Amino acid sequence: MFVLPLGLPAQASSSLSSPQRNLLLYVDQPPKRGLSENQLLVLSRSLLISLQAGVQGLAVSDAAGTVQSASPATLSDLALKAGADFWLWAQVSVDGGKTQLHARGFDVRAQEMKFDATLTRESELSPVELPFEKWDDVVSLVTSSLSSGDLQGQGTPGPQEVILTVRAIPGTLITGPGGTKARTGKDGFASLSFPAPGEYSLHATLSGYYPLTRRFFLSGNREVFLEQTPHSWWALDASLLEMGYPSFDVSRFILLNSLYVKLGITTYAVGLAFTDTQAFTSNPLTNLVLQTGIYLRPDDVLFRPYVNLGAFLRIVVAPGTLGIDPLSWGGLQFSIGTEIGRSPRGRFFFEYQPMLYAVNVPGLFQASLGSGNSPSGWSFSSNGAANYLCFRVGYRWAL
Amino acid sequence: MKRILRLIPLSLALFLVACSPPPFNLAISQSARIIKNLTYLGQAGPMDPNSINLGNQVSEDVVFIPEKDGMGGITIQSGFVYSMDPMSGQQVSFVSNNVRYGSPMPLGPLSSDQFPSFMVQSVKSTHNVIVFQYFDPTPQNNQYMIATGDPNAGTFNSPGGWIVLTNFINVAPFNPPITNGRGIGVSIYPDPNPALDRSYWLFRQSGTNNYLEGEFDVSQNPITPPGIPLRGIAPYDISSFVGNLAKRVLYYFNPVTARSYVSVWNSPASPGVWSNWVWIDAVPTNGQLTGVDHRIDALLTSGELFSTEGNIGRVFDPTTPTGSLEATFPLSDLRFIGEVYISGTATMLFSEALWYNRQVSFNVYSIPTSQLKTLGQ
Repeated sequence: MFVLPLGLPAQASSSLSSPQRNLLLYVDQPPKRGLSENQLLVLSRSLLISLQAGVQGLAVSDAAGTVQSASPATLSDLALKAGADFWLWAQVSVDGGKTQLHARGFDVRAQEMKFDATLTRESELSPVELPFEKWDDVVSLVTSSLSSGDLQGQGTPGPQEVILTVRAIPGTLITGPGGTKARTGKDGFASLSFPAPGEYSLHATLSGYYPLTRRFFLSGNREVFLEQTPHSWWALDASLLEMGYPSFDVSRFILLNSLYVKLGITTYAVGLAFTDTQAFTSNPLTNLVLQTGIYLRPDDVLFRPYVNLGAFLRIVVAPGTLGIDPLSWGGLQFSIGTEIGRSPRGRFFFEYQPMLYAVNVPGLFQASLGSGNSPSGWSFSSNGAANYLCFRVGYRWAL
Repeated sequence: MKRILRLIPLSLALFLVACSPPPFNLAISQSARIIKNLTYLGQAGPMDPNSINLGNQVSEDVVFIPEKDGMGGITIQSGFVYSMDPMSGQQVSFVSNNVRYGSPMPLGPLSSDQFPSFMVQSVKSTHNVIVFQYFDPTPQNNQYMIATGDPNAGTFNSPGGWIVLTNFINVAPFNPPITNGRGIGVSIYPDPNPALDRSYWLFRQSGTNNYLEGEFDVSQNPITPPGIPLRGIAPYDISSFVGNLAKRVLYYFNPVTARSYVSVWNSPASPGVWSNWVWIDAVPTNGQLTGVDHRIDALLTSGELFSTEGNIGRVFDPTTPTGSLEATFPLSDLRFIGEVYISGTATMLFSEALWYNRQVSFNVYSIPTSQLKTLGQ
């Protein structure tokens, strides 16, 4: 049995006690009856729109998921799960140049089959005509099956309260406009009501997953599925220190999405020089860096600041000298930066990273910077040096 | 608009840091390993390298020679900057309290193998330096001078000028037998006496294979004959390893053991390399120190030989049958100044030129000679 893949069920809260009627539309076709998946989808939408427009006060949704057989019991279960109290099963078949619609309507509240009819069109419905097909006969069947008292707001045009059903991982906190909140239950559903039509934004958070923000336009009851991405425990940075020296860092979160430790290297073996006489520099020095850091904002913001604090070790790899730099073993570095972007998979980052160097032999370190003009951003003491105009730009991948 | 905003911090960073050099210099870092075990005596500078006629960090091989103060010590406040620039040649400048006085004194071009053709040492006195030129045995290039700096007058010159070495060889007690002597090698050996050091000369009768050795005192006063024969006045022939036209000979004499050493480039017995030889006795018996396989730059008061060839420090014991290596350590940017007595302790001096912010400074370090070998540990 073919079942429409794109389901928009009504609210998950119990509707059996609600005065408003909610109809679940379930469309399929007999095996090998010629309608393509897209045609069946368009027909279903066409029927859904006709019912919504034609039966005031009736919330209509179409079914998600598949059933082995469209038996009343199965469809009633499906309707209950979708929060509906009436189901309409429509089976479409095209045969002999005619289109037939076998429609059954069942009142779940009353546990009563309200109608079982076959409606015929004297021609095959072309794909072009499908969206514009009038389903007044179906609307009429439904209207006649529901008492006028069941249909709230019937005959009163204007904004209506609709239900947005959110399907997400159980436990997800959904925050809507005005701070309205709902949390998905064990079944993974949560419902929020909004005046329709209107455009709304939802923010979903769940520990262990990246926060998610989605915008929707609501004209009627609707279900949305939030595809949540598990938060990475690992991240990889590729960056340039001082616009010239490549760095690679691997981060491991200690507290997911917040506190992390980072191990990296910055090599001066290949660097950009930006001088009149050189384009590249090469020095047999590599810094090993161990840091810990914390993000200061959630990770679904455009600019996500963070701070790092760590130490670096200077390793010299040159003929005759292999090991920790005899002049300066390394030092401490602090960085404050921001990631730029919203993608959970990767973002640019930019950070300000002042560095403190421990100097073993007084007076030599500044000469390591070369004989030219004193570079800006450095200060020196007998036991150390500070580079307080140090920046890093790069890209960070979540692994 | 957002993209433009994002570019602002990146552009700012690029502007701020584009010219930042790497905080590393291999030679300086390598020298730091040794410097950690030396005693820092002080710094001369910073100075404008142009004021002492220096080129740049790449081209210059330069050493700061602090003054021997004439009171059994040294002073960093004044000294002499001796540079060996392959382009502009060798020169020596007088510096006091980071100011150059007088004009840098040109000494001459480097030899083709860029080995200095001069020996420059401060003299135990105020603001005097002595320069020997002996690698070229032709008379006009076989000479010495004492130059004096005077901060008050703002001068640095040599009142006596260059004086040929022959003047001190062709007189008694070396004449006879030497009538036309040429210096082959000269070394200065530190003496505990606060007023003078000893210089030892190896010379020969021009055009012959007759060699002799002599001693002359070095002080602020001009060298005066007579010299003291070291091994009698009977000439002997060491041309088999020194060579008939010896030019690259470094000569040392140990007054304690009466052993003579030469370090010879391109010896007839060992062409194309530095070879080292020793001889003893009045009628010398000699031998090659095959275990000493680098140029020797000093005979230390400990009796050991010290090499700085290739900017690697090597200490050799020359008393074993063929000489043996005792310690080796990298010097990198450190330059050996010489061995001096400081408060009665024989001490090795080193300097390192530090170029920064378009200025040059010289750090001066020391280590007691008796501890020199520990640098190799």
